[in-house]
Amino acid sequence: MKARSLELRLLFIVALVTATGYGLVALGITSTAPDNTIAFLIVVLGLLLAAHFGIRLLAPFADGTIFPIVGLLNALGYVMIARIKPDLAANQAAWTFIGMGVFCLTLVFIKDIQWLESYKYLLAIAGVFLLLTPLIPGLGVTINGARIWLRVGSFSIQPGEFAKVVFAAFLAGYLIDKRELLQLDHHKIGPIHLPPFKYLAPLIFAWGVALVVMVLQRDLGSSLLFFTLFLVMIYVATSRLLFVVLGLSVFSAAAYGSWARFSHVQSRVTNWLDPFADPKDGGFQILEAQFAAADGGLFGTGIGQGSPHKIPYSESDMIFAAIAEELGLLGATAVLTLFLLFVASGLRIALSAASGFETLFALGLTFLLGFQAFVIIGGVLRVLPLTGVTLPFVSYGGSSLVANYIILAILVKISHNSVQQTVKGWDESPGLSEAEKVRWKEVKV
Amino acid sequence: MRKPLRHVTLVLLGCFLVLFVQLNRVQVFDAQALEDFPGNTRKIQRLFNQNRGSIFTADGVVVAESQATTPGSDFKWRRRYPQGELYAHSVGYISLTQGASGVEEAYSDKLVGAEAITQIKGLFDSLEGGNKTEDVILTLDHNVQVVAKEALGNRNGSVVAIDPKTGDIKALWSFPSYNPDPLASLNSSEVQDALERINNGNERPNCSETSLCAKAYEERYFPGSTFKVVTAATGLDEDAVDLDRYRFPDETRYVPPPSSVGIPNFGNGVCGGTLKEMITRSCNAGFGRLAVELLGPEKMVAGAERFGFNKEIPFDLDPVATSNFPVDYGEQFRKPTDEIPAGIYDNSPRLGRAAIGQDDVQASPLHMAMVAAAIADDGKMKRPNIVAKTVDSEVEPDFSDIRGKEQQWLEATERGSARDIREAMRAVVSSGTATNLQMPGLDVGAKTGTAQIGSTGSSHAWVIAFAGPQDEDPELAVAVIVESQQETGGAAAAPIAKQVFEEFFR
Repeated sequence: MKARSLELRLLFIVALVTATGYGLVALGITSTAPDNTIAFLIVVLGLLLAAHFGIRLLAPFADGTIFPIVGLLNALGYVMIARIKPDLAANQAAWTFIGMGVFCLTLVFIKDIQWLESYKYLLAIAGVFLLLTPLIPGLGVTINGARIWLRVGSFSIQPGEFAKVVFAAFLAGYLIDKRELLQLDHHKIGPIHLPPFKYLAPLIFAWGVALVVMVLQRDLGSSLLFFTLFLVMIYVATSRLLFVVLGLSVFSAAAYGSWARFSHVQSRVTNWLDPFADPKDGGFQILEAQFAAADGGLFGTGIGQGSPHKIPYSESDMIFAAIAEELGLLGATAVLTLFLLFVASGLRIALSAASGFETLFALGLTFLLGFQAFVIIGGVLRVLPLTGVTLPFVSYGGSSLVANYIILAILVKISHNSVQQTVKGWDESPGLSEAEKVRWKEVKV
Repeated sequence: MRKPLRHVTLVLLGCFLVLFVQLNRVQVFDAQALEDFPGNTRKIQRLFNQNRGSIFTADGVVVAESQATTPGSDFKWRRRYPQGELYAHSVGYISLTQGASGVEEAYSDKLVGAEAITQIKGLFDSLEGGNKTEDVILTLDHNVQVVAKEALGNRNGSVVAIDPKTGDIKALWSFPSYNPDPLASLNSSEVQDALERINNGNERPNCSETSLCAKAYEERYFPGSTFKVVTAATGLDEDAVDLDRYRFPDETRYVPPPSSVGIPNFGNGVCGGTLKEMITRSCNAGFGRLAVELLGPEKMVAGAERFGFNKEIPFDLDPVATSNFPVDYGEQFRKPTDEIPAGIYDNSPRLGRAAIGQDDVQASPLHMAMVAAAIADDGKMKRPNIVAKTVDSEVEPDFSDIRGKEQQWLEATERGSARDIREAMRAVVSSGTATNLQMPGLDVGAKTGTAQIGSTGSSHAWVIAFAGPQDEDPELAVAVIVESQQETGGAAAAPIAKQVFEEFFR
């Protein structure tokens, strides 16, 4: 089936699922079906179709599954937010509109992804600048102990969400440029062979600055994400496990150091290992998340029938616990599967990308979102210490949603580019008959 | 870059696999443990917000019911206890912050319709927004319960009345009691205030400090002379004595070897004679002699355990006290002497005191009522019932013949022994320590007890009794304890039992 018609059909399913969920929320809470369910369905469908036609126009050859997957995650998140905090539903709807708009704009403006590669150093500087903005007095604000917010009018935005995308672009550009050099064994320290420091230095510098800033801002989740992103990208670019081993050693030392030094890190770890020891205070949030999930059981309490309000931040960081409660193991597994499908689509796009830069960039972005989902779901389920990051596309939060839609647009564009190149290859291939070219496009595109 | 990319894919896949496994642990395998964790208020809040069936007495008086709240309230239902403190210790409460207790706890699944059968029946109803609840009908008789409460008045104590044939509890009252209604308030600060009043400001009160405690089955006391019924039954079962031929010496005290501390009779009087005479007059010395010299520890422990001592009573309400009879009497003396005859143990003096319901003997009022009921029903001790049955809430209940399921728990004593002891207990009423229980037209037997509390000078006043129409089987057994009295069981407790019988046979 052609990618675009597959996408269209999937989007109809997404709209239907969302409208059903929306109807069930009202039914679950007030026992009456809302009269505006049809109107809601039309709006959702309209929004999805608008983006779909945007893709048709701007990236017609792109993968047909990745946008519906994101659409469903976004819609599910919206339904849960409307159920948990109805006051925030309008905001989230507005952010979704903006996100889809930014998605289309990204498709328009970034005509050629490859073009980003030449601005890699500028990107690194921009990334550091974005990260630093919240520290500017008067502009930045501290919310829940983390100074990662900018107050703009009545909105708060998190520049760090955008910085991650920019850093991924820088890393992809730099690593692709210097990968051969980074594979050299220039220095020998015992059994460890290192490439020339000259080529490592810019990497270490950008990475170090970013990490230090995030740690200073007390943004543990983002530090973890950024750290891992760096390791994964350098590993994929150079195929050298050495960097991973070195990175993990540094990480362990840094983790131990911050655990020993910072009380807020200590309490996170304590509450992760044994929340039952302090159920009323430190362990409260994580325990309520466990209770909620346990309460959901196999089939969930039913949407609108649980008590997700008992979990602090159930509309943002802890939204997965609310999903597990009301939609049960089945619904929570569906969300896990959606993220897995997203990761699969993203990595497929990375594998078939037209250039090494695009491969590395797509990989970085896909990993960023997939790993972020793992970090927060793992935090909610007590696999990892809880760190405050959003569940991509699902949690309440404008910056994260818009930044993630930029990531989606880049992936869509990379996917489009690779197929376009292939098709161009067919068109220019002297060995193919016109009939074959047409048939190939029928089947593949 | 294909190979490392594949590795990254595998790592991410592994991460999600871990999440999936953990998700199953939390939501399925560990779910029950998490639900039951004390800090988890979800279960109780859900229960609290559900419609529950009503609770009735056996004669149809509403004891608990759920009322719909006004629309817009945080909760759909408010549990009401229209009888206030009268049934608190059996019905219990359901409270937002305190959980549930009593029948509300034990029969919660039935009341909310959470049992499998009602769930299937209620599947279609639940689509309409309601579930299939069940009503609970207690075995308690409202009139008898009211009389039990009024007869005890403002004295600390308990009254338990049991149908000996079925084990149905007809009255279960302890003073002080509490009003469960404010505990079911939708406002948690109201609940807190009520709780502080009930607990007299104690954070973690023990049973004697809070009226939440149902002393009738949660608290244990020295049973005193009422325990002689058990000692006598054991003596008869073991053929160590008979009712009216074997004679115990007339004496003021019995000094059990190897000690020099005697067991005196009440008021240091001279007492003895046949077993029947000893029961009638409640001799202490002879019963000490019976346990120490004629029975010995092994037979006494076995006899007490046949009556349910040291055993958990199978009862719907939680927690139920387990009555105690001491089991450790040390080593047996090998070579008999003049002072120490055969069959004496290091701690035989303890056994002598245990035989008259002192030393470490402890029994709940409920259990002593069951002892009386077992004697009344030829030695068969029934499982005590507080709930007669549960019925579909939508069907109008029929209160014409409410009785619980009869289940025998123990063979407490032989039929012949039980009959002998009934004869002796009738003599207690006709000419012994419980003449206060004489009632025209009724055949009544009783045993009193006046269990001294240490050296305070005051005692727990006990009576256990049974009664039935003339020349018929006993139809009701009663245990009454009035705490810390200056009077004897016959004077303080027997009149209460009498009022309960009069009401029941009216």
